[in-house]
Amino acid sequence: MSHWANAATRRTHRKALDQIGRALNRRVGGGFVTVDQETAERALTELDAEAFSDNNDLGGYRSLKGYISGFYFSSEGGVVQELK
Amino acid sequence: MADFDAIVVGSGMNGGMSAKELTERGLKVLVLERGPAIIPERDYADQLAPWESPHLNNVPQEEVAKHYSKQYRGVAYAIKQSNKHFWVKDDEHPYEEAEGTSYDWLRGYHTGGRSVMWGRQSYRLSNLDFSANNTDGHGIDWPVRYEDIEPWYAKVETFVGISGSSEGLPQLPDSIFQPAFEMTDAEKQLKSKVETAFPKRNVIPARVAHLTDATDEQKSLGRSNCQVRNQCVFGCSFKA
Repeated sequence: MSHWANAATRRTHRKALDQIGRALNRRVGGGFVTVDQETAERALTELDAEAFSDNNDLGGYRSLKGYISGFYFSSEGGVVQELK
Repeated sequence: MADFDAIVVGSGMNGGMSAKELTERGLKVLVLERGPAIIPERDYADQLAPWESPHLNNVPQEEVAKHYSKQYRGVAYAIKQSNKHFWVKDDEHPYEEAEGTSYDWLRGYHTGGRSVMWGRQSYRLSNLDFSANNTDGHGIDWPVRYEDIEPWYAKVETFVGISGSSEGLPQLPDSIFQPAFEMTDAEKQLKSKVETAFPKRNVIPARVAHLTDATDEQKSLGRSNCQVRNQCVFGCSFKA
């Protein structure tokens, strides 16, 4: 998949990743990647709920989540193991 | 040079059926097809898992932009890495559009033409359609009515095989049907809600050219019932 996206799509996804990183850091009051798993999952769950609620600017999150879900369930691991 | 009673240009939906009818009436028919032969065992991709093709079976975006801009705009869901050979490359087959207009000509150059790639939705027109120009006063009145076309609908449907439900709707005449696919629970719920709230509205199963009870004629042609795999866009090895 590493050569599927064009330059514009890559830029869009990088911007979305930056936005997600900032939003998660804000929620945990620091570096998201350094917090414990429970805190991380809570922050991510909250962000996910916000992204799929009305009136937010997290379209990049929704788009990336869609891609990740779609691609995962097109992979051998996703189809053969996860859906087994 | 060989002599022919009829020459059919193009082997797609219309050309193929024309050639079939003419040959069955004893005519010597030449079919001209600009593209290569589709050989199901070689060219269909419905037995491949997504991960067995590059990019999880997606066409890279730069390749789409270069070769499939019109085709992809029309049917992005149907153009994958493993079946992109069904579709023309727009940059290699350009055409002019009248100023101020746009038309996306979705095509495949190969034996069978778009009969290999169509969406299978199959509905009869009704007299509502055939008389629409006359009723509205626009355009030219159709020179035929439903009663003139009905026997031909029946003939083609019997050969092709259409699944659907008889509803008796005047605006959407029933076809010669094989059994309809059962609605999902969600679809049944939708049907119930819509038809309760709007008694004159109908939610019915799609009428689609998928075999659900293949006839002896269809079986004799190597066709069998739809396996409900949702792999239609890759060519159907079951010939359903």
